[in-house]
Amino acid sequence: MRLALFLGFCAATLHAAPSAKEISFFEKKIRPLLAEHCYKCHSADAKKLKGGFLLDSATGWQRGGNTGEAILPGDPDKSPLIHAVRYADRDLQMPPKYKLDDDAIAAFEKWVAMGAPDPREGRQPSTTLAEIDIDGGRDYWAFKKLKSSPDKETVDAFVATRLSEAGLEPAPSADRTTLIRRASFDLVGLPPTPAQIDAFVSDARSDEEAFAELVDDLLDSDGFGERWGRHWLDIVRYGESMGRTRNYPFPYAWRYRDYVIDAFNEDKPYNVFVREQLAGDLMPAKDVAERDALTVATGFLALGSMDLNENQREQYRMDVVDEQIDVTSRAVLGLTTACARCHDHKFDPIPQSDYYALAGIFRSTDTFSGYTAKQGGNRKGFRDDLLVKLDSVPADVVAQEELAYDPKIKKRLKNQERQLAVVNCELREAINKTKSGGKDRKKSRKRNKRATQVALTEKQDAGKSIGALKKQQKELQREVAKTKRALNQGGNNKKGKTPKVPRTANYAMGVREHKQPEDCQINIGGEARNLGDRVLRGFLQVLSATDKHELKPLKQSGRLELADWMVSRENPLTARVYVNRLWHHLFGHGLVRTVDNFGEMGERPSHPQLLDYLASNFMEEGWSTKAMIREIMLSDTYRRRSGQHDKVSEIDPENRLLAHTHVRRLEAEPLRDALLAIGGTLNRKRPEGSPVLRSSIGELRRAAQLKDKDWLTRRSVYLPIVRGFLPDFLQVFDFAEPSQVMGRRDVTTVSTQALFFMNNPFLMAQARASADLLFTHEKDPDTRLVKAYRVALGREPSDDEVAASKRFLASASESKPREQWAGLFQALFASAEFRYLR
Amino acid sequence: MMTPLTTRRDLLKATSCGFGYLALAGLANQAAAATGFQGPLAPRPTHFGARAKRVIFMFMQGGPSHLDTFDYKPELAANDGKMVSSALLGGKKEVRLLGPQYDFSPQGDSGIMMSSLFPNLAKHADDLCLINGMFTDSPAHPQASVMLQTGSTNFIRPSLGSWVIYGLGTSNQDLPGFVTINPPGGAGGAQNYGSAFLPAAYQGTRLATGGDAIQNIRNKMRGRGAQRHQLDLVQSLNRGLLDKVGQHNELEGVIESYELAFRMQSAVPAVIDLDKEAEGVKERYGIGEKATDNFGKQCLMARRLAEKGVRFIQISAGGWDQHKGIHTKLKTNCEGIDQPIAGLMSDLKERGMLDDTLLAWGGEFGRAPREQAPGQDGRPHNNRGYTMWMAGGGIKGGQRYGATDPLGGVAVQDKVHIHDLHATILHLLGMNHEQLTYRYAGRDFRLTDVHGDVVKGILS
Repeated sequence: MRLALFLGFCAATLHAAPSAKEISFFEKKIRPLLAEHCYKCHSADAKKLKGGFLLDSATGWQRGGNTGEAILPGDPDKSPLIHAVRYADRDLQMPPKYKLDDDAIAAFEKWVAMGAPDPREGRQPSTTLAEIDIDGGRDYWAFKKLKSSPDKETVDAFVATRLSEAGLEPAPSADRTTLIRRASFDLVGLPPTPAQIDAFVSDARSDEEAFAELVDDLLDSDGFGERWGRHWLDIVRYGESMGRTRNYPFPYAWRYRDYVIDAFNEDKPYNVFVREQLAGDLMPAKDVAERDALTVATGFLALGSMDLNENQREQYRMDVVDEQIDVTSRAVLGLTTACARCHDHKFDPIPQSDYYALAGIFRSTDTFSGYTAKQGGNRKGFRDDLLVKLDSVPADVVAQEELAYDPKIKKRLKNQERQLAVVNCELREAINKTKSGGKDRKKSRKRNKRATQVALTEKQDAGKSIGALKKQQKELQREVAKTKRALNQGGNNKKGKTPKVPRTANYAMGVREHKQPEDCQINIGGEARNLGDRVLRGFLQVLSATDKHELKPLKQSGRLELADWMVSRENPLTARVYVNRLWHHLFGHGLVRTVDNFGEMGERPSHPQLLDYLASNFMEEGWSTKAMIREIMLSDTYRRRSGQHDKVSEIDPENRLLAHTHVRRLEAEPLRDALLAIGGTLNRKRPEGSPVLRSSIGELRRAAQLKDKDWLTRRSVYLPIVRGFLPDFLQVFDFAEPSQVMGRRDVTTVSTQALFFMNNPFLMAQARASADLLFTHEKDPDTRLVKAYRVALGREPSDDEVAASKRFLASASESKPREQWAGLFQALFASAEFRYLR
Repeated sequence: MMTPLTTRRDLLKATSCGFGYLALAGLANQAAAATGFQGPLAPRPTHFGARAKRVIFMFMQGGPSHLDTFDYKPELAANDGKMVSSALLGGKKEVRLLGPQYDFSPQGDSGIMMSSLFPNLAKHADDLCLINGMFTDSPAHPQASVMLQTGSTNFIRPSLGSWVIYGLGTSNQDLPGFVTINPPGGAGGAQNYGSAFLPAAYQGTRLATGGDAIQNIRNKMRGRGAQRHQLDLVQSLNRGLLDKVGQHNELEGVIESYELAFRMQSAVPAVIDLDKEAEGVKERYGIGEKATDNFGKQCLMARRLAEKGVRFIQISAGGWDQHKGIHTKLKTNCEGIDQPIAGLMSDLKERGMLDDTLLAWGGEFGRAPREQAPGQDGRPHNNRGYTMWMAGGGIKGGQRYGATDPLGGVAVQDKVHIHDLHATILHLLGMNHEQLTYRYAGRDFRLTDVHGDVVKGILS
């Protein structure tokens, strides 16, 4: 029977794992021969598979072809494959069109005689590294050391070289009105005001000088951190709830959000920024406030979306570790290291042991997200013992907040509400009794059976008068309202005093050292219970000097050492990945467009030397984000006009050579913030905390739908990012999926977006507010029109546009002029120009 | 170090010059030349007679186990629990075989074997073609999902639905030609219904089940005429911008999206309002029952959209990643879709639509014939052999096509790759997958790249 053979065969090969020497022979001699002479017809990739016989995996030839087995390991003379390559048999000659040379035939014979050792698995092998070659891997472009940059290079020079090679001319610089809109949205995520535009356009200095000052002003604005902090939050999968199977709130995630925004505003050097997020808790601090900030920074590691239904403790622990490895390596290194959890990386030189070297570090770290696996039923909600405590929150604030979170208050409220229900019911009954002489009593009693039962158990006096009941009802209503206030306002806030610091308890998400740091064992096949060799903690070999990847004498987790290694000058990837991210946000596409993957499956850079120049400059200039952005923006390349001419679209249709600027769509946040700003309703103050702070599990959806009015006018970076329940606006306009590292967002153009601009109440309210604002400042209709274009689109209307707008205003059916103008503003908002930068 | 990507690129470069047929203009160009300018969604002629006019694609994200559903493996059952070398199953150690966890029995006149998880669907067994020899490139969810939807794991490519409406247009200009209902958020996200380099008008439009199937569909302020005036202003501004910027795919997409949105306002609410259906019909789809409500609504919406001329409709059910829960979660999943699909098929039959509607069902890959971990009620991913099924327009039902090895791990006979599946779907719609091309960045692209064979054996 076929299966018997099949299983018998399994048994035979069971212990025949090929030795390193055998593998090496296979890799050097056999695989190249197979690839060159056989795969064309005998691989899964073959256009037409011949004879049903596969040679691109061990399982392939082990199964044999249509005529049976072709290789009998250990017995070349009986193996049909050897007969075929020897060209001895006229009916079976392979390759069919020519005979291999003698060396090749001898190699095949030797291989089969050895027992045909073959390390290849599955279908992948034809494109996979059989054995990871660390030293060879170091030559891969992204892992190569950075050379110190020559002094006189500029961004433009690198771009010019490639353009002239392609025979393309760069486009001229954009005009100043276009430029200020582009720069303003890029740096602070808001449109320039008409006054700012006028000042810039009329600046008598040279274009270079005027633009440099504009860029500096924008870099200094608080809006910068709010714009660029959000870019970072995309990359670190920032979310304010757990997502997945048990979507519990993260009430303190916002502290990390604010930390990130502050870091960008302060221009915290990127190497410091990365170190703090990985190991802030292990770094020295000058005072309590700084200690707390460093703790909050490690929230980076605690924000992952985990499956709380995982019922095996160790598996959950390793899942947390995996998430941390994934976010750290993709965000900072642009590498998919987490692929090596179950097996060696299929494409990049990252052996499974490297993964477990990192896993040892993170497994020696305790993660405080507020939750742990299999926490449900009565233990719903976050647990403060699963969070880290902060010391810089004033004691009275903590006391207030603890009062608010005091379960006693919640219990009190529940009791009061129950009493109230009882009284309400009694009152109804009493009233019914007087009205109908007790006829409806039975019905009423049935309806209120439960409440009545409560009433009986509570031994309430059933004979109270209506007046007494009404009085009792009123008292209880007051009590309930008072308790609710206490619960909602964080304690006693009777006089409406606003505390100076956020009214929140002293908790944050973050990490701490595990009490017993230790090396981790390989989880065979990624199974936490299937343990293999123990691996010394350490770093990725391919990015370390030879034999310098292991951490030997180690008292702590190794996180601090990992952080240092991440940002060391010896590791070129961190800077390459980061400057490419900056470029991506300023041009719409990175020099490497797969911004989160610099590995083999990622893209190669369009301008490798430019990327290296920027990376090395970045490190030399002290890892300053603002300085790097400034350098890029002051280049001619950034300031170029958009719009393609025929020659470019023919030679470089994707505009990779940057002959002109990409026309690119604004993301959801600047789009929404611009609407609020133009309508005059934007509140630029940073809100305290987040709507999620006071949300129970059941209230998360409500928090995300912005029922809390205060949040409706805040900048979008402060909107609650509840996993699974994104605010509508963000959802419609391709916001980053908050459970995933997402350095590059989708850009879709669908009719649901058009419908939003046509019909959404929020949008129409902003249009109305914009019209109101215009009416209070401007009486003359012609000037009004010009002003409307200037605030909405940052430019004056053309004659055609004036005519079309007037036609629209005349056609409008609304009786009130303000409504007509609201309609005009809506049209301007709906125009493609409003949501695109050019 | 090997660099497969470069090799593949080089190959593409080389072949793009070599294939004569690639130089043929795409269908859109032909149609435009023959008839003058038309909207991007205008119906276009097929290459040859079509067997199906529309597709309902049921995407089961996560990798449903073929071994417990549609791929009957008696020898796996007989060897349940045996330890074998995993060299055959994709690992280095000994692993324990996990037999099918549900009973199989012959169904319909054809007697094809199906498991007890699909009691209702089994009544349509004679319409089903179980493609048992599927295989795909990647065993990872996002890559494999994107592969299934776009034919590529590592490049951003247009999705199947986008190619279909690019090739054929759509017969109802008031509705999107390509709709996706409740698509999974992860697993490639919008790429799964994106149009990549094809004009943005070919993107899938996302709908949800439930009250707000599509948001902002009504205007509370302005009547239709007034809104048209407003839209005229918007579009004149947009054309002005396009003049300044030059040819730009996305901006053209914006213009088109407004026109479609305007028409959708009157057409969509009527189509997605399931209240218009009789209770009996809803029951048939399992609407109102907790287990089947969601997918039932998707199926019914799909039928209504299909009736109104939407060309490509994708519906989704997630959560098929059974690393554990073969006895629990898999069962619930199947229960959730069994009656809805059966209801959909009966309904289509009664309306005479099953003959020209192609139904396709499947996940991004299948699962391995072994235990996930000792004692764990689950199976690992398996991209080397799994099952999808098709039914309806042009499909020869009541058969199992292709096969995996006796253990059900690797496709060995009449193997069908995703490219073949795509080629076949296009074929059934009347298009030659080698001629449906789009010129971008200097060369002609195809859904099937340089691969794909039409699977003749499943055609009626």
